[in-house]
Amino acid sequence: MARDRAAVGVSSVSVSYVGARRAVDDVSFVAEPGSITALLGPSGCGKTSLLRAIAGLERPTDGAITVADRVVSGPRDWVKPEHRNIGMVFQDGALFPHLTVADNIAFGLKAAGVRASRSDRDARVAELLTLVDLVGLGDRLPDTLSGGQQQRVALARSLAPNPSVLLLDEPFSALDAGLRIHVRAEVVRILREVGVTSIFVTHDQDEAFVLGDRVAVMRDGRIEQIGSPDELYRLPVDRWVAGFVGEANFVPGTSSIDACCAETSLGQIPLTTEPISSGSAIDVLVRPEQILMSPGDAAEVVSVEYYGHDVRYELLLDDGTRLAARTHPDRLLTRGDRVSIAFDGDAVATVFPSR
Amino acid sequence: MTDLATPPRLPTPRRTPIASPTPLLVVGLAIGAVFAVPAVYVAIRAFDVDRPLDDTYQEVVGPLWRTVQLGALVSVSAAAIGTLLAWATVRTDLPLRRFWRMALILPLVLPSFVGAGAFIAGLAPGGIIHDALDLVGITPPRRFRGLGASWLVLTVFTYPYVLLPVSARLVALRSNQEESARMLGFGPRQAFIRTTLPAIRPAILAGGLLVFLYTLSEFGAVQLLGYDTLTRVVFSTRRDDPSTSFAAAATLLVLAVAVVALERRLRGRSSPDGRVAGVAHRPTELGWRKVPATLTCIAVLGLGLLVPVLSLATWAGRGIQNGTVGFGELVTPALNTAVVAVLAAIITVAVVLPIAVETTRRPRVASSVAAGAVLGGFAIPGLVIALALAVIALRVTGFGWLYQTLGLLVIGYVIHFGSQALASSEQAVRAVPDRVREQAQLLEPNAWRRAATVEFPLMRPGLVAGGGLVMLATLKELPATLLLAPPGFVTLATEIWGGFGEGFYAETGAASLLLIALSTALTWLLVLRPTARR
Repeated sequence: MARDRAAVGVSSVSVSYVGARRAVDDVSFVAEPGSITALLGPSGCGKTSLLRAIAGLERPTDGAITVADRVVSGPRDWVKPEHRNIGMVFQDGALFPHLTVADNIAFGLKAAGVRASRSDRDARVAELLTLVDLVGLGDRLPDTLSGGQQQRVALARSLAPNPSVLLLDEPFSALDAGLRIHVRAEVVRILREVGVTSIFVTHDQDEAFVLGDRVAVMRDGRIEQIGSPDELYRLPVDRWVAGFVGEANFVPGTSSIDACCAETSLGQIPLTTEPISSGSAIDVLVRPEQILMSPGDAAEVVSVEYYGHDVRYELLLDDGTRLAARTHPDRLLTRGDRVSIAFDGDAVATVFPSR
Repeated sequence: MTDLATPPRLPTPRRTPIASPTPLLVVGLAIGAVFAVPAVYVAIRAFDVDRPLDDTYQEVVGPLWRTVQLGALVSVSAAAIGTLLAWATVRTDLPLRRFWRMALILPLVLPSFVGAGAFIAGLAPGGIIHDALDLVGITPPRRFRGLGASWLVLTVFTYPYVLLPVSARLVALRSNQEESARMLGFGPRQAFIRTTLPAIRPAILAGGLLVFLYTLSEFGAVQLLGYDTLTRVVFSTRRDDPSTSFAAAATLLVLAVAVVALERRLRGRSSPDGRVAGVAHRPTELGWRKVPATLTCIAVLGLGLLVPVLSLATWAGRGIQNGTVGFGELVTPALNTAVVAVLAAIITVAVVLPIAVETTRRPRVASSVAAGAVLGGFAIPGLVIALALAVIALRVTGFGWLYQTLGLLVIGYVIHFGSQALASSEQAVRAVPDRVREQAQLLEPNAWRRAATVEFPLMRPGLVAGGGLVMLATLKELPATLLLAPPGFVTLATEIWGGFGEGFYAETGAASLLLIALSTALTWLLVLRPTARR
């Protein structure tokens, strides 16, 4: 029952609810076949509405959605969710409590249009139980399973009918923190093994970066930036994205004569090769781990947060600027220590116009 | 000499070990035993035959068959209507559905014997149904009696017992399951049948059970409509032929137990209630079906509330115009009704509280047994309880002073309606979290003062709600009141019953409207307002 991996194309899609402003505002992107795309953003940014529009559970007011070159949603087209061959995993699994694990997984194999014999179904269920590492639990009821196990059953259930696209709506937010890391590693292994095109929604930046090949950062219904996690982290398109995907220091400075560097309190910083006029006032994005500290007299350590794997310091410069810095705990500083600061020479910083 | 440096030793709160029974449990068990007395007595008396078995069988078998028939028919129709209306008002885009969700519960305010009387009065010459049909040119039916009439009347007043739990369950149910089924390839109707229907099945069954038990114990309506059921046998043979009376009562008891057991079996494994933060339901679009759906709601509300109330109002209005109805005559029955309702409410809540405390705080077999006895009191028809109590007071030495006293009536109410207070009382006990109690224990060593200042204020809303439900139930009660009330003690219910029986529609109309008004006020406070808040 193998099917080709499909691309998902979203073109100028808008979704609005009765009486409210647009939840999704003119969004376009493409998910390549077999890739994992993350829709990342704060609550209310429209990421879930967009996901549901792709699923067919919401009807867009504008734009078109294609799955595997077939228009499933458009001004003149509409394919019902049950005919789109799209799988969906919900936040809380939404397992059918009155059916066993095996019956849950086999549910989609009994839908109209799926011709599978009893033995075919059983074989498929066994295959999926092995895939999600739940062999032997087929006869259990969902409420006897742990949260992580329930999510894996939900995943198996959605994958059973071999969908061309898999959508996941905050699939790990109902699990406790420790479990989350373990379960998402399992899930990404399964998704890569199956190779299905996946789009998932999350508000957790860690999750988006770890699982997604590409991440789309959304805000107020629009995609602010879409790219690889590294692109978003090192080359954010604006301050908001910079601050959303990680802690950001905006260091004021002036661009140099030849416009390749900036003069700042951290010394001279090489910049990205975007053309900027020389001599203009700019803010340079410096991530906390890009700040080097050594004994000196340029700044005072105002607070120390020890995380074990690293330490986060808050530094107060003499001119009043506050910077966050993260380093290895090798040389532990204390409050009140004075340090001199420099920029980690290899990295190239991104620049924004001064406010 | 006290050492000021050392802080004074506070007495350590005594922690009772789980294993040993507390005095409260013993009290609870004793109360449970009292609740079980009527059922046990009926069972014992049923075996005490002084007539040939065959004669008793002949007297009972016809009514038994008719009772079961009516019970089954009404349960099925009430369940069907209740479920359909629940779905329409919760899951679709029916216009004004929030209004309908409240309004369609209203037929609960009408006691079924009042409703039956209202229909009869309406169809009598001079009644609004009679006149309306005349106007359209249809000859009104000469008689509104028998199985069909009883089925219609009871269905239209009992469907809210199914509507309430099913709509509550639909509101709480995740929409994700239906959506999951759709993503897996099922159309909307199939998705509903395969995922939502199994989830609301326990609610439908529970509501259906309530309806069946209600029909079993129904007396007034079926009497007025001339449908001969077991309650008629119990009532009419109780003085001249007690063994038949008890045989019929025992049969009712067995039926009640059988239906409760059947419901338990059919309910099977009940799935746990899931709490989910998430997307609200997308209502199913009805399109053109909005029109027949709205018409259905109008028809159901019309039959269940508007037509009966209008019927009574026109008769009462006519009576006031003619001067035959004086509101002064209603004062005594109204006062009596209020007094006995309040008494019953207070005593029931007080009596049930020890059991509620035990089942909530220290759940174990003994307390569940006591709770079971209380809940059983509701399943047993009120008439049967009343019969047992009346005969015990007459026959058993030492209880003679209770016979035909208000006290016995109140005892009957307490046993029959204890279960109404039990659920609310359990919620009231849960309203005092363990941590709060422990904190209070540390700060206030005196148990009584603790109860007064911490526990009772927190429990009060639940206790009041339970009391209110008991009051509402006693307002609408008829057969037990007829049997146990002291001679000359007239309540609104018995006054109305007498009036309908004699055909005094005008006077009875006024009394009925007063009863309905009181019932509506309580129902609004206890059922509609909490439902609206959800």
